[in-house]
Amino acid sequence: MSKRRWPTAIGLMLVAGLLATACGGGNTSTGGSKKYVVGISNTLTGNGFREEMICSIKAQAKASGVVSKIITANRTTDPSGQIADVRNLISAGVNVIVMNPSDRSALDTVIKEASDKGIVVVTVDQGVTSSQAYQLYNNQVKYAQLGADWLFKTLGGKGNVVEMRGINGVSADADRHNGFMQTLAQYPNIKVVKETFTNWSLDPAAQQIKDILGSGLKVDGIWTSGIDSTVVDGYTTAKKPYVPTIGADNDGFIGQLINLKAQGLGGAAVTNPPTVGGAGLSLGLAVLQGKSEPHLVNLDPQIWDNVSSSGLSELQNHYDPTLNAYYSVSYQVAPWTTYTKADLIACADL
Amino acid sequence: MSARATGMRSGRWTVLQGQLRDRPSLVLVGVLLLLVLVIGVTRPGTVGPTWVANTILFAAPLGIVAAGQTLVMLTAGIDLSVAAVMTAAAYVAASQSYFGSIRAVILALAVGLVVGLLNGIGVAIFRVQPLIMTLGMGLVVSGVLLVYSLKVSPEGPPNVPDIVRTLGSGKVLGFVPNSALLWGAIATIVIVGLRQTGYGRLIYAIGDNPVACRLAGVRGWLVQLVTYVICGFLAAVAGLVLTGAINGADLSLGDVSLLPSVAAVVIGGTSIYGGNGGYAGTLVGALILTVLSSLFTLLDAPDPLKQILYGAIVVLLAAVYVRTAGDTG
Repeated sequence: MSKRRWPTAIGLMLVAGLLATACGGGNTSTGGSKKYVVGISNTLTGNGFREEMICSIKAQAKASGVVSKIITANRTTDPSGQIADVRNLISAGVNVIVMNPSDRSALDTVIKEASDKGIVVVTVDQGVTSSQAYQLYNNQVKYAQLGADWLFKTLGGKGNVVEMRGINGVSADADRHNGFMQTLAQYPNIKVVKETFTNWSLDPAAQQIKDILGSGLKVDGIWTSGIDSTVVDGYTTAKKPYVPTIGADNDGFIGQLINLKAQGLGGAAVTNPPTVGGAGLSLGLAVLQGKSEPHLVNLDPQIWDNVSSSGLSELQNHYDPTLNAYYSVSYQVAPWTTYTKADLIACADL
Repeated sequence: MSARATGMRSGRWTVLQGQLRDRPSLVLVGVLLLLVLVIGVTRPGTVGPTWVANTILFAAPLGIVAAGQTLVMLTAGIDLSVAAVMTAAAYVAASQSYFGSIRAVILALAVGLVVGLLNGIGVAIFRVQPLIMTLGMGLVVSGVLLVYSLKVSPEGPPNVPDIVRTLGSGKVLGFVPNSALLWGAIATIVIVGLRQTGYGRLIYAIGDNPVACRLAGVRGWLVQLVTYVICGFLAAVAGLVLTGAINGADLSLGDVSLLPSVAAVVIGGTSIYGGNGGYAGTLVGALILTVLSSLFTLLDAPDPLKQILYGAIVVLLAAVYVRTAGDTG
């Protein structure tokens, strides 16, 4: 898009909130095929994962051909704010709501309100306790187990590791920590010498790895909850020999696993697709079209290491040097998403 | 104990208190050294030239952004858009590096100047409450940055320009961080500027008594406007230093610096009501906060306990400061 369209785009963003309350929706018919209005509820802005998630919903809406309009409620807020946002989406007459829930149980009431009105609610990325919601998310316990198991095996079942977690108190972090601890229990000679919370932000993670490297602590391996390339960069800048490192499917880290292998970096990336958003919409549209779908779809994460030839070829297939370091390379969630990678990256509205 | 001895002791204390009142940052330097000592004792071998260099490297972005925050707070204002400006400047520099480093840096600094100017116009001319004005501007900047990241930047992957990386993580003679030199230069200008120039004295005057300033014929609005522009500019510089130190930029890079930028100023003894304080204290405040986070990374304690300690130490510092420096804010 040319820079001249900026003001239009900004204007659109500003009126998005108004639209959510002011515009009536409902399914419209064009040329005989039914068209649906999609609502998106997200409660964390400025986060690469969440933005890619929203882009995947837009791309899937376009690819489906049955969506007439998307209404986005996207701001940094808490469960009470999200409840208000979802109520606005209900008033706006959406047919399906794709949401990243900010709490496991707080949204159950509003999900019921929506379901009672015949709106299909799909929660993605994290689970809820509501029985009416359709849920599609990555198995976070397994996410941690896969990476931890690879790391501990690579270390020969012995050594000092650092666990660099996400945000304390967030369900995905708690699930991952549980998975990590379960795997740790099987390796009695692996010792966690340091546990930090990166808050999934670059600055704290960079500072923590510098402190750990400077403290003279003996570290044989690092497990990160996704702030991965920053940690590897810390080793590069400190001119310290790399240790086996676990990260997520972020483009920058994937690039490091490929390009720094010769310099001694061993490691593995575990998938955690933000494109669960697009997959969730696909699930919701299928339900709207009368198909019978399961209420819970748990995605199985994969692990791509740079040691085995199969892992390395997966890394090479997914690496795209033109993308941002923290752009997730899990472009698709089979069999749910049908858009093109170009549409996902362009993140265009309908 | 004789009454005479007690009198002497209390006399010495008064002298000490007097000296501390004159040089309040001495108390803070003491606290800083104490924290470094704790790290040295709990993790022997950690504190050395490399550790000092790394600490300054990570304190520099905070110290630079807090310099602008100090100026604004001295005028009895506050700038809550600094974090968004840091992020935006870093992201713009990284995404524009495709067109050359110089252009990238100029555009990044322009972001800071423009946002600072808008804040200044809002606060100084339209008399919008600084907290609301800058909070709103921060949201606007974040929103515009999001649109920018989606619609404009995919002309190439965000890549930190070489000069920014050299500035943020390079070291002179393999020891002194480049960012420390920049920070030192900025600190000198701010400290000397506040003490020696008419503009510096007007900042204090406006923060202390805006009505008297107006009656004395001072163009207070102009001083405020310039101060917000300087603050925006320094936030952009801080964003560049930060992105250079980390070698990466994302849409929330500067978020973690917002509250520390205010905390460094308050710990450093600048009154939130304006008119009282200075940058020397803030500078040490920024170092204290950075050393504190290092300490908590190295300390083997549960996370909630660390949070409680962090909060308690910040409150304690502010309280101790008021007692020793005799500044009631």
